[in-house]
Amino acid sequence: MEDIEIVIAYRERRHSNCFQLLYDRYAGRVYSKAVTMLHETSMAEDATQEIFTKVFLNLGKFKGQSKFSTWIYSITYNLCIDKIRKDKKNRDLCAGEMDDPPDLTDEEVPDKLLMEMQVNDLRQVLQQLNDIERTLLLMKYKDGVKIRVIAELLGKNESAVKMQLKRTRAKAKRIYERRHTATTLNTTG
Amino acid sequence: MNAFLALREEDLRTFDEARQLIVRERVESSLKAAEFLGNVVELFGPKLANTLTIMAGGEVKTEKTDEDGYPKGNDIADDGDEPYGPGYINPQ
Repeated sequence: MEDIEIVIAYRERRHSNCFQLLYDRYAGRVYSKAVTMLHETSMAEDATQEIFTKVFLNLGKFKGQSKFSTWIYSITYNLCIDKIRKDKKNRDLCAGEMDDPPDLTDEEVPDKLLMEMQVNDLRQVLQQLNDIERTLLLMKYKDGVKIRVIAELLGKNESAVKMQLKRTRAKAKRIYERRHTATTLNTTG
Repeated sequence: MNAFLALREEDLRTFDEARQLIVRERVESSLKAAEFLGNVVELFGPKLANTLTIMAGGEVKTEKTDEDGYPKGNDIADDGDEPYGPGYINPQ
């Protein structure tokens, strides 16, 4: 059954099966995106609950002009961004730094390098990035969000997002190479 | 599978069936609470509004009275005269 058919059926009959179908279909992916933004599993779980409550309370506003998945993920990211804005420690994501990035000539690191990392290496690299950098990488490569959409969600222009991603890839590469050089030195004595 | 997709799979494994169920029950509970509140407002909202209107010295129009305060109903003839008696046959 298509998403829109389930939405219409839920609106007409409020059947719990419809709710369960949509929830089961999207809960995991919504949670994963919440983890991307909030970086903590417990916060991501709370956010998932809020997101689905909001989705089903506002189902009447969904007109089917976009895909249901697009609509629900838009609510997901916007709710997470609101949570981040409220958290005084983590306002960096929406701070002005991205609007005027420093004029550095970082090398162009292809996506391939990041894609070919082992999971543990990637995890280590992500831990050493700051919140903006980590979130951008995860939105782009884990969640598959387009740069235009990232820019819209964060209220930034596309070129600033592209530049930040470029710098982040270069930084990730340096962290990865530094880690591997240290590992090689330790191995050889 | 690249490392980012592996991270996504890990997220999905973390958010296992048990945790999904707990979150789903909380969502259902929130939706039921919202529905209950909506029903209460729908039921008592007009009555509360009428009460406040009367307390402020206004008059309350009900569906059972017209603008002049006469009762509405099937037993009032359209021209405002007294109701027709039993057995009345409308010549029209």
